[in-house]
Amino acid sequence: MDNKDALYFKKLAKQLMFELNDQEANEMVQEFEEFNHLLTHLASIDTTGVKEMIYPFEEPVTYLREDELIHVITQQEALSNVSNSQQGHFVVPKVVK
Amino acid sequence: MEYDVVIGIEIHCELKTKSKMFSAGLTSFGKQANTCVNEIDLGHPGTLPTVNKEAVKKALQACIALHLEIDSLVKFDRKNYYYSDLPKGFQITQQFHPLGRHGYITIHVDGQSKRIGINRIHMEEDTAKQYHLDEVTLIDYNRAGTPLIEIVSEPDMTSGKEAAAYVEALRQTLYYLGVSDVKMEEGSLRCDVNVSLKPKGSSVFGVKNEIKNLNSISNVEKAIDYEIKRQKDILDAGGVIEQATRRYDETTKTTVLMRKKEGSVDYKFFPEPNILPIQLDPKWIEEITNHLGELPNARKERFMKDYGLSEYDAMLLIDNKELGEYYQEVMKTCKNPKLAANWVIGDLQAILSKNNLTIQTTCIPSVSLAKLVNMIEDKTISGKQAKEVFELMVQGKDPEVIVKEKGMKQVSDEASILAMINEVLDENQQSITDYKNGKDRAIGFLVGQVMKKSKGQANPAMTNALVLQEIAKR
Repeated sequence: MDNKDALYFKKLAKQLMFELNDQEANEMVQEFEEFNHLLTHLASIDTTGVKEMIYPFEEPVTYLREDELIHVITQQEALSNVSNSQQGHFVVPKVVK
Repeated sequence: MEYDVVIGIEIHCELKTKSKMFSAGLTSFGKQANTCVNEIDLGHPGTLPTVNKEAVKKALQACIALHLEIDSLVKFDRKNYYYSDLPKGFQITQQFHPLGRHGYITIHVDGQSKRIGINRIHMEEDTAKQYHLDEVTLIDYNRAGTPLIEIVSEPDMTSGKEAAAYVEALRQTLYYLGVSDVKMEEGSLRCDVNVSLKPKGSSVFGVKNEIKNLNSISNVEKAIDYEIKRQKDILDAGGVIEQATRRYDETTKTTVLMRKKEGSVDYKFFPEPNILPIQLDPKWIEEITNHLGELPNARKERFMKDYGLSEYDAMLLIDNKELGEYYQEVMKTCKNPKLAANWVIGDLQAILSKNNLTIQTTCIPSVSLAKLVNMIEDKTISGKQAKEVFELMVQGKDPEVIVKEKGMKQVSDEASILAMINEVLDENQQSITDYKNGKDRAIGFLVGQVMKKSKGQANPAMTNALVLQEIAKR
């Protein structure tokens, strides 16, 4: 497990392609620690025999979307958050999986 | 040493819908990059998925046709992985509750039928198309979110040939159902194959290698045959097989290592909380079951029963769905099913490929071909004349008009043929002598002379019989 320090969050931000300055990174470290601490409280609850709840409602639904209405955005809109684009494509560092 | 070969296949098949699996984005192929996407496909914060009814219907059709047990409570799960082809950071799939389980398809190899088990069919969404350049990767999200079904076979196949027959049988069934256009070359049907070897009779599976993204049925067979040999050679030399993912290289006709598998990737699957379980109406499933349409095997049986075709001819006609449909149209007004089948399978297909046409774009209406076959059947024209007429039909002409314009009618009037035969016999005394001396070929020459005299219009079968009859008299 990586150490969740400022460097970790800066690395993560870089991967997610947004800017994170030192002050913001440090704030994140702090927030993360606080959040992690809160989670330790959850661990103290005895959940033996308690069924997991995944959905907010017990009853299944029946809704299925009709395959008729089409909604698309323009290429310009699609690329509006992109820092780098080429011929209508999103450009990311090359990672071949 | 002798080995048992174990092959299992995973197929990803894009469903033919207008919109995406979980959004109203447009499904597309070959459109300008990132023009068929919306906020959901791009994983924008705050967006929620909704399930495409038509995609579920098509997935159900596949399950029903392939005899799977259906789970009518549809649930989705999240497969978490961090890669740029999925903007959300996860793929919505059905890990824990596939739509269908435990089905099968029957394949035919070397005259033998075999049932190949289908472990599961589940619904999921396709990923984006990526283009890896030298320095960077370009991403087109048009494909992201396209509805897919994944069809996972049981490890029931034992050769490249069986695997190819399985993929072909599935491809044909899915095409007949209309659930997908199953174009392997365009990626709407993609095939990953697992191959392993174990000592003959052993109940313990060997270590498998996965060959990814095979793009044609013939490559499925070639890749597997190569992989079997590769693994056999390693094992025979006392080596061990390492679990790995490979790809098929068409130039060298070998499988090439992509990556070794070091333990399985943890996708941290969990139930998709943004889509509540959906209860499908049993009446809807029943309705879909009752309207599946005719499947390839049923059509083959019907062609054999109704038209008296051989299994081989029937197979050729069902191989191409549209060709079979064209044949049915021909048969609405045609009197000779076997002759019609020969024309559709042989001459028609040949002329289509020669002119770069397909059965959908052919300029020969089925009713015209029926007329042509009927004219041969009732001896209006000879088979040889029919070929000539057919060449002109490609230009869109009606066969009856061609026959009339060319004055091509076959002469089946016995008296006229006899008159011509006797003229020919009088002129060719030597041939008669030759024939009587055992040279059977002389008959061919004499018949040829009669055909020439009749400008090709004498009924050949009749001419042949009458020549023999008249020679005997001399």
